[in-house]
Amino acid sequence: MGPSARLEPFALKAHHYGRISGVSMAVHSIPDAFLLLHTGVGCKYKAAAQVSVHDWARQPHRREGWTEVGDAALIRGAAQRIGPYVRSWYDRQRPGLIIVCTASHLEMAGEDIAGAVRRADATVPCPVRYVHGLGFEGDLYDGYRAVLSTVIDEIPWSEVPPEKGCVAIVGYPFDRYESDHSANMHQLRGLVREVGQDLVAVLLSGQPTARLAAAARAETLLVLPYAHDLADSLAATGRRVVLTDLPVGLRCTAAWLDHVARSLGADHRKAAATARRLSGYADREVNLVRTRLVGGRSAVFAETPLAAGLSDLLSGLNLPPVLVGLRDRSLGGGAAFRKGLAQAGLDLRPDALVLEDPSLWTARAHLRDGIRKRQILAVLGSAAELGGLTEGRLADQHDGGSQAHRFAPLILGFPSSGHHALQSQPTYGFGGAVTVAQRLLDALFSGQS
Amino acid sequence: MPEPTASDEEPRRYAADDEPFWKKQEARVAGQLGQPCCTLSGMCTLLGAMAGDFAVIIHGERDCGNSFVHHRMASAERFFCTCLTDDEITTGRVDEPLERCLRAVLDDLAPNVVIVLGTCPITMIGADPGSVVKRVAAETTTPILVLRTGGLNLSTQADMVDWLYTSLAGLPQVARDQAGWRRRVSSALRETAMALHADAALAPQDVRARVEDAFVVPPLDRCVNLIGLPADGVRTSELEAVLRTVDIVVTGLYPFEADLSGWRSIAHAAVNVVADRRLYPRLLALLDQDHGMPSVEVPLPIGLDQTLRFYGAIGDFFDVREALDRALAPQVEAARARVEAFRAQAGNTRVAMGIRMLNNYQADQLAYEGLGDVEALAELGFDLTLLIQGPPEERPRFEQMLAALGVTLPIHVFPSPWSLAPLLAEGRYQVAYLADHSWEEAQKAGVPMIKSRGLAPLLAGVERNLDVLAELLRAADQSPGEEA
Repeated sequence: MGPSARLEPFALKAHHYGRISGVSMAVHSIPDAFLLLHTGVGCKYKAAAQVSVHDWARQPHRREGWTEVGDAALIRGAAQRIGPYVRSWYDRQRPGLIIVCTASHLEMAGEDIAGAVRRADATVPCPVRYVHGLGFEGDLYDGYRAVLSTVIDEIPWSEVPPEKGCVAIVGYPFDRYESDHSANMHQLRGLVREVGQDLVAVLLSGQPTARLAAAARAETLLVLPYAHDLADSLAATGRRVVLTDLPVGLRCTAAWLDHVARSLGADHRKAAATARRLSGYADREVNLVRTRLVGGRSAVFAETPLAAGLSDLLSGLNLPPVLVGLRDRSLGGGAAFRKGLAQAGLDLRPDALVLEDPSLWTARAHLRDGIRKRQILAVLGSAAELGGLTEGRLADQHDGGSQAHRFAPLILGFPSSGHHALQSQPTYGFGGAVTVAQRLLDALFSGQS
Repeated sequence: MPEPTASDEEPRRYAADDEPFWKKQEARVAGQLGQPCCTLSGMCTLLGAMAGDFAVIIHGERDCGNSFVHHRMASAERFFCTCLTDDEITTGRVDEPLERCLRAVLDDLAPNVVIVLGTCPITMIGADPGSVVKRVAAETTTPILVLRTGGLNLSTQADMVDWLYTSLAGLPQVARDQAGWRRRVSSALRETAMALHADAALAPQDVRARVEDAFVVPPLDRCVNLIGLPADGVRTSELEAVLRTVDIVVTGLYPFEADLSGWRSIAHAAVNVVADRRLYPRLLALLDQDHGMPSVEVPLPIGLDQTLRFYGAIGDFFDVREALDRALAPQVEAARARVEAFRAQAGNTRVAMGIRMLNNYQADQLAYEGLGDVEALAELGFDLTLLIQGPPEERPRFEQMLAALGVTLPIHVFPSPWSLAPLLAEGRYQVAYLADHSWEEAQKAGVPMIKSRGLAPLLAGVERNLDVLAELLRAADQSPGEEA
């Protein structure tokens, strides 16, 4: 199914995004940051153009510039362009942070780009930082993490004393200013409050640089999987660092709450009672649809940590995944995915297939096959995997009158160009489980009279 | 992290050097009304939207496959990338991965055509994929095109589309009796179904005759290619029915409707009817020299007057002008009445039309330097101002370019989309016609907008456009706007 093993490495990936896209996404998530691309003209399409179809609430183009490097500039020495462009854009936009991101062919020219950025930094009031955008290696999440690391370096950890009971979350993958993310913030704040803590900052969360600096007040940093690689530098801030999975899905969220409570030295029995109470509320809501989905199967396409949470969520809806596509190359792959499930006491079905960084062709071929064979009732994935499937709902998935009779493609994650959140639609927390269940219910049963 | 304040001063010592530098860079790309483009990115975007049994190999690093919005492309599964490593590029060992990829594509996918696209890293190391392709091509009958694309040579979008389309049209043409019958039959079936819906008494023999006719290859001297017309609304409009009354058949709509087989049958027409022939110098020269096909220039058929000139040019070429006018008369009369009534009510409305804001490679956007809709808006009596994205200090240059195109409308040059909201508010525009990424700015200014090239074509489009514009004007009356 899909291309041969010989052709697969060459085929365009379902998530073919590289570091530049991740850098653009991270800069977009800081409203007063500015991205200066020191790249070729086509590299602009790896940045704001990818994010802009995903975010209807805020256009990333307005905070992105380009040093307009062509062949002549490259021959003459392109790095000298960085300073004038940084200063000109600072003058025009007054950003709080400028990220200069390069592309492979400019890095290969052997110029001192880091030096040019350093010199430019000394000439404007805001920090100017360099992030490479090599296209041979890394993925979207590497790029995102690189900017996040830069932001962490700018926070005045040694100047602000940590405050008791204050926590910051590090590594939240904010990518648009729509109500799905604001709803997730609400969920995270609520979960942190349940363990008696105050959430003072989320990196990154659509907040400007000055607000992100409030993370320095935290005595504990809860680090989501997207930032686990930054654990060492976070430890150097002098704050307590707690690595966590994602609070997505009923069991994973309860496990997250328990882990955080224990790590903070809170009363974990109380935390367990809280988890039972909150989970119970959500469970009652979810039960409305769960009982109608007995025997159903699903597919999930997401980055590794999110895939684990969504698999938990779907299993809790009687839709255990039989096809999982992990669309990252830097978050641990299959082993991390299974470990994430195990930590919440879950396991995959024996017939489940896990694809690591599959090609678009492979991902869609498996999906089409599963749907055609009526094995897959619901798919959670981005617009990339679901492209071409969302218009082709397959009828008569089940024969029973009260059973679901359709195939439900739910767009979730990046890019979600076919789904935009006008109202509160969390994925995280107990509320997230109810929201996804609601979306599934709408997708599967809205055609029934 | 320090937050800059209004009192922060940028170091003045740089200003003397930086500003001339900035202006010089802006001037470099202000030489044309369109934005500069990467030919790799542009061709991937256009090929990704094209249907057909082909494969594209991007010869470069993995992230070069990310230089277009691939997930929205119908043919993204037909794209491959040699995914060169740092080591392979720096040591120049790039031929072997290309050969492996090429052979795997030919063996596994067996496409009708393979297109190999270059990238910046390949350009930079001076690698020539030609020898590998020649070696592999010698062992197959599948045509393999090598296009040395990339972003280092800042190309115009117009140059890129002409290059790509010339390359596709230059592929071996298929036999006439093999070409286009599926489209003709599906079109005949659709029209017959609509006729049946309108008139249930349609006799079975009439239905059969309609469909059987579609299988007949039309005479070459009555066939027409339409090049550069809008993507939407042409087939669904009155066009085919009107042309059928004078025995003219539309064989292909290029580029929007053309799949691979469409490009391989572009020579099967008597004439190319082209919106802005300056966009396609190489393509039209190829069709003229290799196939003896003349080309006729038409405006974009948007609005009443431009649509009439469009039909008129076709009528003149086939010497059926009078018959065509008669066939169009009822619709023209109705459209003219609507336009005059609209003009009486909405004339003098202040309308902003943005140009030079897009890099989307679409032929109808590029036609006539993005000004293809100006006449359609002007005939409604609007008080039209052109908002041109570019360096404000280059205003005289833009004025010269517009004058050369015969456009004398007032203009305003603005540097970047982020300066659009105050511009719209200060200009007291009631309606805006802007690139689709401008929704946020238009909303801030409280100016209702329609996305550029959103007007429907031909006579059938006139009424629809007036409805949309009337709705927009009603919204303009109600819109409070945010503070820009």
